Amino acid sequence: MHVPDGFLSPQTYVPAYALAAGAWAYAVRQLQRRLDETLLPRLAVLTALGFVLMSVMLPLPGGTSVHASGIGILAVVFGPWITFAVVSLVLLLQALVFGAGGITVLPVNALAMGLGGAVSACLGYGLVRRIDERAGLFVAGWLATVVPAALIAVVLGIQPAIAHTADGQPLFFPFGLSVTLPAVLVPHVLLGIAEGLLTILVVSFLRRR
Amino acid sequence: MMKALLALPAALLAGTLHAHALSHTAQSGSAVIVELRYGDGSPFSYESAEVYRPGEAVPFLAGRTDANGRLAFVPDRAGDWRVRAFSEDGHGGDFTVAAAGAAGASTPADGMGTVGRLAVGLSVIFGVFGIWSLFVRSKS
Repeated sequence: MHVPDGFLSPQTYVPAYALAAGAWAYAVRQLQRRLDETLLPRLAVLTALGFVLMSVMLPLPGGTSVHASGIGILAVVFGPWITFAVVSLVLLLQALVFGAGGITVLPVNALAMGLGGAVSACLGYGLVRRIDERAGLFVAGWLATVVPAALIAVVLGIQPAIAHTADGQPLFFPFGLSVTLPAVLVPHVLLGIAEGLLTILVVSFLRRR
Repeated sequence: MMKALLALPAALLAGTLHAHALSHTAQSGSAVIVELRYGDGSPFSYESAEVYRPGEAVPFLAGRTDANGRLAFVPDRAGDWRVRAFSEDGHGGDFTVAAAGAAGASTPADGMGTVGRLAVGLSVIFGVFGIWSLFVRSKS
């Protein structure tokens, strides 16, 4: 996922910054309300886990590479808003330390991965856990991978339509939806399976302790 | 257009001089520069070219010659490197260039490396949450 700087047009990331600013303010308020000395160490450890997972690139057959995110785990344990806040922190850190992602695209990545992924993970978990707890965790991990990928693919795919020169040359990311959707979604549908299993593993482990 | 302009006189000349002649010169350093010219000295511009490692069938590099009919590659082993160049209208060449073989594929210098960066990131995360937890405790 992690769209780099220069792939998205200002017409995309300026409104995204406005949207994300509101969401960040709300997320910080949520975090302050739930904050106590038992929350912080758990949040720190799972944020660190997310950072490590996002930094380790796994090669996939066909020449592409993906990375897990731990967003499903964060969302099930802490809820969508706290997840959004800490994922934003991780993305900022990755942009500054690793050069993965970027500063102009930060709100887009944060909204897609942090908020889109976490909200869909919580909804999926809430629905499926009534049938089976473990299936619910798996669905949370899978959705937390696939939904952000779909959002990112759409944002990338509409760039040629949003920003182009007078004669139709794309100014930023050059490929349309018909290319980005399969190229981004297919690897992430597979990765989601691993992320779902990881979510079961980590959350079950946390609950046993 | 450019290609057609260059290919037409070359094709006419090739018929009178020697058919489909393509001369080449190669200079070796850490990179090999191959220069391709038609028999009359005009450059073999913007045409398809492939470079093969010694004894390999999969191209090491595939692309096109530049405006001056040149092609450059950086060999990572010694031996006879095969160069193929061809245009749509049947001109071309297939020859080998002896390369001294540089010191293998160089690894790009990576300041900290992944582990170092992970350590920095983890330090920042635990540092932020650690300092934060001090303030939370003092409040309650």
